[in-house]
Amino acid sequence: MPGIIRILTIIITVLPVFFSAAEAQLKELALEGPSAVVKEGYFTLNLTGTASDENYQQLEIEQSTDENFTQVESRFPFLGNFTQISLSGFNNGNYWFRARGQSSDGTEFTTAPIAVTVQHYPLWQALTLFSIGAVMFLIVASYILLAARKGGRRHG
Amino acid sequence: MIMSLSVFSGLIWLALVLTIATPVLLLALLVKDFISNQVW
Amino acid sequence: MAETLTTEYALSTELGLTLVVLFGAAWVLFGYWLGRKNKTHEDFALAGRNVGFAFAAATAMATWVTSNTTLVAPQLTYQFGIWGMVGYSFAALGLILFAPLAKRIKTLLPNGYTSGDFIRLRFGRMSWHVFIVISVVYAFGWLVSLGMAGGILLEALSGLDYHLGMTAILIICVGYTLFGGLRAVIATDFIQALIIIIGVSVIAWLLIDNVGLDTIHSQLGSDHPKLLDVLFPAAIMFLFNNIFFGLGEIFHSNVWWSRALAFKKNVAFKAFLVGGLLWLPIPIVTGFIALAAPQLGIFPPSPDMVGPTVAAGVLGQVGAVVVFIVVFSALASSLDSLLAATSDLVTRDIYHKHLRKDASDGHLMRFNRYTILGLGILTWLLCMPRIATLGALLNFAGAFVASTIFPILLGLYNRRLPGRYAAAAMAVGTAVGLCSYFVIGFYVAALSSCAVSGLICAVGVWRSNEQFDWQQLDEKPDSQSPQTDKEQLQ
Repeated sequence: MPGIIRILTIIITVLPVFFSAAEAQLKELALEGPSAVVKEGYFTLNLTGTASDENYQQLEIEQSTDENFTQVESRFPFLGNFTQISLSGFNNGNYWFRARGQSSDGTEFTTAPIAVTVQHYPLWQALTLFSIGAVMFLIVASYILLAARKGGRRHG
Repeated sequence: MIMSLSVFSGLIWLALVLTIATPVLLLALLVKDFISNQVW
Repeated sequence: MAETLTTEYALSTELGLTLVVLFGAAWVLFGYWLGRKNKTHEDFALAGRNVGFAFAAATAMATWVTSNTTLVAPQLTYQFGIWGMVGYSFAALGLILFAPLAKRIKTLLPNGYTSGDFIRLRFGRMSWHVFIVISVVYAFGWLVSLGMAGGILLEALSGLDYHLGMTAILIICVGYTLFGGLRAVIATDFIQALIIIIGVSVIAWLLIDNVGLDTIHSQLGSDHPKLLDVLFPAAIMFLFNNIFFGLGEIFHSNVWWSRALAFKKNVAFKAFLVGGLLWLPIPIVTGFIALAAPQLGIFPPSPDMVGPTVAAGVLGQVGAVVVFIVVFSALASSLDSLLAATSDLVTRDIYHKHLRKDASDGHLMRFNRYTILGLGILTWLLCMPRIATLGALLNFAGAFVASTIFPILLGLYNRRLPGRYAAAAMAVGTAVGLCSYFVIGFYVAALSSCAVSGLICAVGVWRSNEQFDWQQLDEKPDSQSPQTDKEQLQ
């Protein structure tokens, strides 16, 4: 069993070496984001098409309000070698993101931009659920307090 | 509605002070239990 | 900066391993030393029913400081901002509201061992079966997620192989629980509580000192405004669901019942109350760590990594050591409690009450120890494949546990709720909670489960004319004469 795993590991690590030369031009780095409208203001972006042995430098996400990135509003660096990044706290709106970085051989790249739409839950919906929860909590808490006082007297 | 800086700092500081007070209280309680032989 | 964080781990593998071995050896020896006094099964499972106030309050607090408080509180703060951390800290309400229940439990079941005992005596076999399923799903979900979190965290911080780290933490916790029983669990909880609190305070203090609250506030306001928004819809929706999740966890789980039964009689109420109040500010301190991430340019690949990453990233080697010790302690203080409480449930409810009614005290104590070992091995096997989705089990556990809130409450205080309604409330509540989790969203699972189960219980109370006799809960131990016990209760 360990033998098989070792062979598999070798295949997996060696395979890209054979293909990387041919694929270098073909491989398309792309940014992937949430496909649906984001209702919580947080989401995860993924850089796909990366080679597992590649050590990208200065990998970061750029954010803009338009597709052409006439003005880059924020930059979010990736953590270490990770090619995935979690962002949070966005207001309602349309945001454009693209990833920039450098391969280990020094070639700079920028991915095609992707759009993320953030549309939070309507406040009335949130407050309705909040009120239902609050009422239920009051029922539980007051029942405990009343019952404990009664029970305490009986058993005290 | 953004939480203001003063409320934000107040919240964090209050939580931090209360948290730091906890070990002191727990140790004092243990000493008290120990003296009155009520640990277990 | 980014370079050093990735190509090298925050701690060297040797240092990580040394810390694990040192803490592990200390705790196992401590457990062995505390276990010398255990003469009977009652000693082993319930620490002689005589735990004092200091240990009681500390164990209530420390057990509730799980890996969740050190990992999930920052995660929720990273996602939901202010409401994430404040909302998470409201889980303290579970401990606070359990305080009167603990007193009641001590009074009604002076000789009880587990929450399963209560359900069996109060509601009968059918409810007991439903309850055991809920308990086991919850306990294993939690055990496995703790074991996995241990392995993942040790690996993330020190590069220690996942399987090695996970195995080490399980061996250590099984080891001292096996030797010392509940006494060891409670005493280590006390020390672990001190370590956790001092550790998170130091990290938060250094963050405020290095980065500054005003810088954090202005950075969040400009780039991540929703995190400071008091009217953040998703966060408002999450709030009460989280509270009901916490209530369900505490009200049903034998982790808390065995503590209520183990505490001295006049200590149970105030220990849970003080434990809850002490716990309240901790998630705000751990959650705050996540709010500093944007200012520091730290954007984690997944939100659950934010806490340790920020602490280790900012404070370097020292921070990493502190994080390592804190999370290790938090994991251990929950893992040992769960092992002890679940093995009690298996020994008492399944083995003693259903398979071997004539088992002697020494036999039960031995069986309890084998069960701890067995649970440890089973958890280890389930943790081996490192299935990420198993961690997600805890996400919908809310649907399971919240259905027990009303049956437990009414069972303890109301004579009229019949067993079949309690069983239906738990089963239907869980089913509805699970459906709404998948159909509507995570923020309604516990809420809908609790609401449906509450309605069924209300119908049960309204339609029944049962008058349950509380004396039936006081099951006499075989060795004692029934006479003395009755006198004790009055």
